Amino acid sequence: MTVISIVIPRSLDSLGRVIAVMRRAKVDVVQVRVLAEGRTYRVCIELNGTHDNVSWLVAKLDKLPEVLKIDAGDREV
Amino acid sequence: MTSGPGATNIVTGIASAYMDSTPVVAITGQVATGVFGKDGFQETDIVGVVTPITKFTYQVRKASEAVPAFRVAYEISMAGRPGPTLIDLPRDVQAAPVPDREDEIPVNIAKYAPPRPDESKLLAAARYLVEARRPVILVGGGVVWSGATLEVLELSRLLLAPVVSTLPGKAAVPHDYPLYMGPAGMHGRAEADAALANADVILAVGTRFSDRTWGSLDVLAERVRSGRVKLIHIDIDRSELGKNVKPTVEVAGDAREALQRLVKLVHGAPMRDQKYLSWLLEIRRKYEEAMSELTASTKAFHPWRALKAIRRAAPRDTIAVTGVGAHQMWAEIAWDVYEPGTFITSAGLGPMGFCIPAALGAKLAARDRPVICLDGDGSFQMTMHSLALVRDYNLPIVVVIFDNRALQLVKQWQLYIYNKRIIATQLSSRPDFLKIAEAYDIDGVRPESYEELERVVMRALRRDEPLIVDLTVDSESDIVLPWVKPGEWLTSAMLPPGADVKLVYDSD
Repeated sequence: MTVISIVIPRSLDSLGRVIAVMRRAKVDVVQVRVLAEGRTYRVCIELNGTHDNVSWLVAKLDKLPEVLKIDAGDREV
Repeated sequence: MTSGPGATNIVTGIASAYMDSTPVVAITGQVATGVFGKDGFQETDIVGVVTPITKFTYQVRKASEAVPAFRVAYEISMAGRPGPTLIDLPRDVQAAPVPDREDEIPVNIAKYAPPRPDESKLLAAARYLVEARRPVILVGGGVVWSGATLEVLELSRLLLAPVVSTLPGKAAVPHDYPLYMGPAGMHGRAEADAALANADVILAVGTRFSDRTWGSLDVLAERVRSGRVKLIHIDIDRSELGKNVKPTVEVAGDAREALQRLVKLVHGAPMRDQKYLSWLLEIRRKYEEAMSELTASTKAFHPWRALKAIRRAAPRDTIAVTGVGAHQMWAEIAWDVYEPGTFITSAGLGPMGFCIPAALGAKLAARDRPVICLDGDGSFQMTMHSLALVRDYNLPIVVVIFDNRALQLVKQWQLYIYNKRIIATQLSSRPDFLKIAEAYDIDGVRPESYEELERVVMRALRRDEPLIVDLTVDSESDIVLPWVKPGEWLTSAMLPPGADVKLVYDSD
C-alpha cells in the first residue's frame, strides 16, 4: 500500500483539483482523509497500484500549484 | 467571457491550450456571490468545468483577492511548461472598489522554476550521441517555447544528426536546414518517419511522446527496453519523463539550457553511417517526385501542389495557421516554415474551427507580418462568424479554404479502416463561400489555376488586404499520404503510388 500525503490551501476548489488528477490515475484508492489544519487541508490518500502508476500520480499532483507539500511512501498492510 | 454560456464557449479553446502547452489567461464573469447555488440565470460552475484542463483556476470571492489572483494566474500560465489559467469574477466582486490590502493566494509557484539539468546525465547523453551510428534529434513544441532553435541546429551540425519534429515542433526548425527531415508521425513526412524508426540513438527534446508522432509507443518502448535504441529525453516537465516511454537517459530541465550544456560536452569525431543520410534524402526525393506526378493530373486543385504555390506567394516570415482536418495534415507535410514560431496549429486536441480565431489572434499580436489561414471547408464553417472582426478591428488575414465538401480526414478513415462506410462526412454544396466573403465585406476569389492562386495570394499579402480564397479540391483524390494507420509502427506508412521506397534501413 502506498500513502500519499499532501498539504493544500483550505479550499474545496483546491481539493477538487486534487481529485480531478486522482480520477485519471490507474490506481485503486482505498481511503482518502481530509483534515483541516488552520488555513490548510492535509489530504492523506491510501492506494494500491504499480510503481509506474503511483509515480504518475505523484508527479501529476506535484505539478498543481495548490499542492504546497507532498510526501509519498509505502506502508506494510 | 460572460458567465454561463460565454464561459462554457471557451472550454474547447482552453483544452486546446492545455494540450499544446500554450500560455493563456482566461477571465470569466460569474453571477454575484449572493446568488451562488440558486441556479440563477447564466450561473455555471466554470471553475469545476475547467479544473482538469487548466494549470490554475481561481474564483475571486473578495475584492482583496483580485489583484494577487491575476498576478498569480499570469505567472503560472507562463512559468515552466506554459498552459492556460482561468480567473472567475463574480459580478459583485467586479463592481467592488479595489482595496489597499491584498490577500495572499496560497500557491507554490517556485516549483515551476526549471530544474538545473543534471551534469552526469548530460555526460551520458553526450557519450551515446557521439558513439551513435544513426542518431536523430526529435524536437517538440518545448523547443519553440524555450527558444532553443539555434542550439538544436548547432548540435545537429556537430553530430551530423538529422532533425525530425513533432507537429508542434514543426515551428521550431527552419525547413531549409539541410538536415531537417520534417515532422514524423501519422501524417508526417516519409523521410522523418524513416529517420526515427531506424535511429540507434534518439535525442527527444521538449516533447511528450504522443501516439500521433510514434504510431506505436509499444514498439518504441520495446526497442529501448532491449537496448536496440538509446533514448535520451529532455523536458522541463518532470512528469513527462518516463510517462509514455521509459528513456535510457532522462534530463529534467529547460531545453535551451540543457542543449547549450550538451553542445559543450559533445567531443570527438562522430562515427556516422554515411549511407544513412543519403538514404533519407533519397526517400524525400522519391516522395516529392511521386507527389509531383500524382498531382499533375488531378482534376481541380490538389492541396499538396496548392500549398507549394501559396508558399511561393508568401514572404518567409509569414505566419501560417491551420484549421483541423485533411488540409492541416497536408500543411504538416508540404508547408515550409522558415522562421521559428511561424506555424500555428492545434496538435493535441485538434478542434475544427481553430484557424480563423487563431489567425486573427496572430494578426493582432503581429500586425506588421503577413498572416495566412489554411483552412478546410468543414473547419471554416465552425468559426466563420469570427470574420466579422477582420473589418471591425482591421485584421487583414488571407484565408484559403481547401474546399472538398467533406470532413475529409474522417472520410479517409471510413474509406480505409471502416470498410468504405461513408457516414456524415460528405457536405453539400452550400454555403457559397464567396457570398460569405461578401457578407463580411472581404474580397473573395475562386481561382482556376495554380498561377492565379499564387498571384491573388501574393497580391493580398503584399497589400496587407484581407482575402478569402475558395479552392476547389476533389475529395476523391484528396487522400493524405503518407499515412501511418493508428497503432502501427512508423515504417508501415502508406505512401503515394510511385513512391517506391521501403522505410526500413538496410545497413549492409
